[in-house]
Amino acid sequence: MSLWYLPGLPLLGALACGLLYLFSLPRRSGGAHGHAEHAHGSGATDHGHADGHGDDHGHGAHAVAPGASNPLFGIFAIGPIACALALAIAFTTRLIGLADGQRVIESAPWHWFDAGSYQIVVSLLLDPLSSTLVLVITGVGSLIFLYALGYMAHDEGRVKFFAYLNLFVAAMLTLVLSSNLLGLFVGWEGVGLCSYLLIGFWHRKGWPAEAGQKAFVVNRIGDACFVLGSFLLLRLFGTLDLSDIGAAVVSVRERPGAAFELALAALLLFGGCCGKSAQFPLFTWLPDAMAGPTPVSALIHAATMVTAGVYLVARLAPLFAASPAVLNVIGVVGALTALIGASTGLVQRDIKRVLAYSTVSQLGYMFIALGCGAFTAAVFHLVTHAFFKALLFLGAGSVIHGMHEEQDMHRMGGLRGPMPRTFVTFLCGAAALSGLPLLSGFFSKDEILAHAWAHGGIGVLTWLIGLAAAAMTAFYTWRMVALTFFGNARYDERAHPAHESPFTMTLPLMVLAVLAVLGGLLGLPPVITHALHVPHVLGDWLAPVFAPALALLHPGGPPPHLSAPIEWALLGLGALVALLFAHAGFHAYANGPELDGRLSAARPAATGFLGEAWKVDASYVRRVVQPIQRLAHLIATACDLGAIDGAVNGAGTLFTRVARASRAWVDGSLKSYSLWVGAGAALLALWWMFV
Amino acid sequence: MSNYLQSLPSIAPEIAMTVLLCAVLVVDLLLKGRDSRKVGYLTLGGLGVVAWLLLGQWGELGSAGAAKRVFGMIDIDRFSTFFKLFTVGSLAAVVLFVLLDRRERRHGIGEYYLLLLGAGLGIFFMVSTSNLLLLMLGLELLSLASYSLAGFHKGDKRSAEAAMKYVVFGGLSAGVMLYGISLLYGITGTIDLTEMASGPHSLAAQFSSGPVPVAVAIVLVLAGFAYKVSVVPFHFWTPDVYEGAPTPVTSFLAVASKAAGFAALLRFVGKLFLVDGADGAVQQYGARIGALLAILSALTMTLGNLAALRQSSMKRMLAYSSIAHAGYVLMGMATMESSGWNAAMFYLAAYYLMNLGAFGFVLYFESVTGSDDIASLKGLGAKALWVTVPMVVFLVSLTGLPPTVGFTGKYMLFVAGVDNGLLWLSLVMALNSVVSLFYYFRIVKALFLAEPAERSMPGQSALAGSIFVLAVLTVLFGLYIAPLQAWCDASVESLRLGAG
Amino acid sequence: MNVPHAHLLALAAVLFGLGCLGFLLRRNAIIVLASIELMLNAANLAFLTGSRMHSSAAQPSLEGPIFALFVILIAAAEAAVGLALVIALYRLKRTAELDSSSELRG
Repeated sequence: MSLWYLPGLPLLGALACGLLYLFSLPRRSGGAHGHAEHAHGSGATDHGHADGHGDDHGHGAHAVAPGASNPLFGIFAIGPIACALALAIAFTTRLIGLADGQRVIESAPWHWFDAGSYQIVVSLLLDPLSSTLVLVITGVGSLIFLYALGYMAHDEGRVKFFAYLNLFVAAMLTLVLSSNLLGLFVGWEGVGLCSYLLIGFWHRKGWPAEAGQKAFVVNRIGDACFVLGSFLLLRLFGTLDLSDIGAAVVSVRERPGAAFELALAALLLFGGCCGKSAQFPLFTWLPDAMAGPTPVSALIHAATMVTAGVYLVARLAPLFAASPAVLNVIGVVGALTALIGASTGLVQRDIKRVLAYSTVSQLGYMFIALGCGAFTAAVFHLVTHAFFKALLFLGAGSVIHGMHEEQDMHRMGGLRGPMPRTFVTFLCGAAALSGLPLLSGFFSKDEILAHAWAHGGIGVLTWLIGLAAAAMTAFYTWRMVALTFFGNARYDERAHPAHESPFTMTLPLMVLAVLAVLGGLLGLPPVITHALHVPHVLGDWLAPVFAPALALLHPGGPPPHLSAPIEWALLGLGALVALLFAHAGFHAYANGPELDGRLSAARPAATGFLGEAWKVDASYVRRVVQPIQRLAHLIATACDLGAIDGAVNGAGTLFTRVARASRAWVDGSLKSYSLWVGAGAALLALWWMFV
Repeated sequence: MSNYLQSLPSIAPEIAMTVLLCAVLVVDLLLKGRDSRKVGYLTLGGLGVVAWLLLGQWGELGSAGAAKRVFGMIDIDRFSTFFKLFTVGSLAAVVLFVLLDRRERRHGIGEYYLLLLGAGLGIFFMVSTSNLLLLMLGLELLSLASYSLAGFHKGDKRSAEAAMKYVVFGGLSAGVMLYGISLLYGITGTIDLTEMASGPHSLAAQFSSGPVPVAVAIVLVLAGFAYKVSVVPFHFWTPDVYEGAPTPVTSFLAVASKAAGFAALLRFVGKLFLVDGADGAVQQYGARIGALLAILSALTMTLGNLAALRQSSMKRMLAYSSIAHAGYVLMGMATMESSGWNAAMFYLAAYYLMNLGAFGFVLYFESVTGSDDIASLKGLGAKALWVTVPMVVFLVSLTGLPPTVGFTGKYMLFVAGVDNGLLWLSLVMALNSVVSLFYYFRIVKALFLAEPAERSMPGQSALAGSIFVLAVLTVLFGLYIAPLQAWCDASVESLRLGAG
Repeated sequence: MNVPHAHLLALAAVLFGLGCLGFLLRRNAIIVLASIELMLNAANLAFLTGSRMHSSAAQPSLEGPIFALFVILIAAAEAAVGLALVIALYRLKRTAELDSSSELRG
């Protein structure tokens, strides 16, 4: 079996779903479409039917959802990713069977193209790092696909939805499996495109389309950095093969002047990561991306795509390890992002926006870890975060589903009664996110903070910020739990009673809850592993991958472990902060959201500042978007002369023309073609002669 | 005389093209405008023959030293064959567009094919000569046919206006260019580029003794080329003409005519400034023109992209986008190195695929909605997926995202730029491709992310089929580019070696 | 008659400049086309001068005069197409003034 099957299967699934959709479209836009139109209109805000979910799969839905009535649809939708999961498990088993340090499976190479004298050869490569990611993508992905089958059961475009979703998985698997930076970039752009289409999936609401556009454009800024970084690498290394680059870092760094270029390349690549992984200052697209359907938020904007930046840094760990300054930048950016995200989460009312800012902040943690050179810790947090954040998003989706598309937590309350299964699983996720002791989030976050502390220097600063963000995380998580599931119902219980979601939706929740609770076993802290004589599973698994980078980072042998007392103290401090602020958050809001009103009345400026994520977005609009728009306007009206009239009409003498033209230039409506051409030619000639 | 007869097979494609042109003229007269579709099929068939001849020629030119000059002025090398094939391909696509466009049938279209073939013949001569007289004649043949084509819809004010602007500014550029050529002739005493570069009165020698006349002459000629390929600040006619001309003609102007302009420009710059083994004066001279091209490139891509941001007409937007793409190609040229020129050639080929497809899409929707306004596309995405999905592919490619030919092309340009000390220009290009995303994806947004429209889509399966094929090629050459790249490299190689 | 080359070239430059000015300043389409003719004829004069400069009795440089002949041809063809389009535009708009064409802009 070739590795190409892994991304190939979902790609086939996407094609199958796409063709199914294409061939089941109504031929003529007649009555059938009028019907669809109607379903759209209401589907926008209320895509489900009010009640009777389990048995309402019936005729209404079939008539308006092209392709969904086909018995093959279920197979096309879920089959590919389930097969990919099975394949991933099989490959990983084979990988485990190989000797330690030789755990690499590589596919047949594909000679893509030559750029100048360089050859771009792409193959797929499975090593412990990519297999971890592949398992997360296919595993969590399968659960989310299953959930989406229930969640989207009444959506008219669900066949199209699964086509996009399958395409996304194919692109994501290409991203993590590619052995070449440019192949990785193919997946990188592919997931971006799918994310764009899926965020805008419910475009009938209007703003999701804008949100999709924004996500795409903001990401393009990062991508431009990525591409430039890749040129630099190509120039420095003569190849874009990821393992070759990793191996050649040491020798390249010896060349005179190369250290700066290496750092620049690393910094540019990190710019790309800032876009994709929503780091400061490019994080503003992620909260808006919540306009997409909730399974999309869970899969793309929490569990997989947004962690691509973390993966990239981990994959090119030697490159980053060779430039400690860049690592410091990464750590500081991560800490800043963690702080902005967590503090903004404190005052959000929309349950999905709380989770979005929480994701931003948790990604910040991963970059803190990368900044300290703790690559394993970053991957560990990536994995546990995929578990509990997917769980929380899916739980939120279940709540939104049960509340008939209500997302405002101020209008929820008391949902633990009507939605017991969602409630219990959501509690597990919340506990893990807030880092309550012994859950997955506790261990992974603690590992990051311990590394930051041990890193010293700037690491202590990031440790401090990380701790503060952890406190805020605990607070807003339990505020969310309290507002959603406790207190009195703040909605019209009689008109729209809340209801539990169907089994296809709660089953993935339960599986993810188990993973969120037990995921910490993958990476117990050293004090515990020593005491119990158990391995740090993930650490041992990934150790060969990161060994070269760590050797580069610590040329004098690995740094000493923290002493046991300090480690216990850090563990205890983390647990204490989490428990304390979780308690505070819960109690402040257990009886309702009144505190929010009091706070915004008392400190309107501060809450406004937090509510808009430190006003980063607004400053973009003012400083970047508006100037570009003005420039485009100027060029479109002033330089685009549009018509000969202004050009050739002469109006008497050249001199009045010039006078008028210079005046018109000021009021932005110059229309002189020929003068421009003449001036251009004259300038060129002058330049040629005298410069 | 026998020498001339022996040379005739070398210009078999040109002869075939001329015969085809005459045949179309006669058949159209015989049919008396009754069933012009037959003329279209005849044209397509004839173009097939020409393409076959060209492919044969391409194969023959594979062996070393096969490139030659016939009749003292026509260079038969892979470079010209590449562009001739390119031209035949786009002519075939445009003929298909005309055949398949339901609206074009109203305008007795026999002459349409005649004019297209005439323009094609002009391109054939223009791309395969280093003799400035023949180059100018080819260019004029192309231009005269293009003026008439732009004004083909006689009753349409916009079409007439577009043609008027085109002819006026085309005439200006021809005048400027001819004056420049006359100065070059006065300076060097020859109208052959090869002799100009090497003879006793070589341009470089003249330049070191008196730079001003040489500079004036070169800039005047370059202005003529810059006009043809719409380089800022000689681009002003482009949006007006592209918008006003009938859409098949627009696609011809945007693709074949622009590529021909680039071919002539490449040959002009290549012969005069890329001479192997040249002395220091020529080197410095070449570096200077490289810098000039780099500045023009930066200006062109930036202004083109920024002006495209605010357009509501798709044709006008694509016009500005084509200006921006001319800037990208210029960047490859500005490196003055074969890797950059290879990339520029490749990008031209990529440009050909994606722009033909995009204009085919415009044509398809124009015939449905009667307008090329982006707003009129709203919600039509799901109605004709066979066309709209390819359009997404073209736009992705135009933006320069993988896995399309636009991405590989842009990547090669980037690498060439970074490798040859044009890092600043690569940065400008990277920023530009971010900006271009805004306006390209406005079309995607209108198509897919808007309330579905209540409009029936009459099937135009043949047109949709050809658009689909172009989309497949756009992706295919993005993933499997070795053959295309080999062709481009071989073409540039033959240009640098020159002809016997 | 022995007119210096410099004088001929200066005359060509003046003709060319006059053509450019006419193009810039006049708005009647026919006069604009005539200005272009003037520019082409400036080129012709320069071609013939160039030929005189580079000719010797043994080896006349014929490329210039031949080029000039073809330029005359080009000029005629341009004028034919240009005037046809002026007429087409005149039929639609009842004017040959170029600044009346302003459907396309932006």
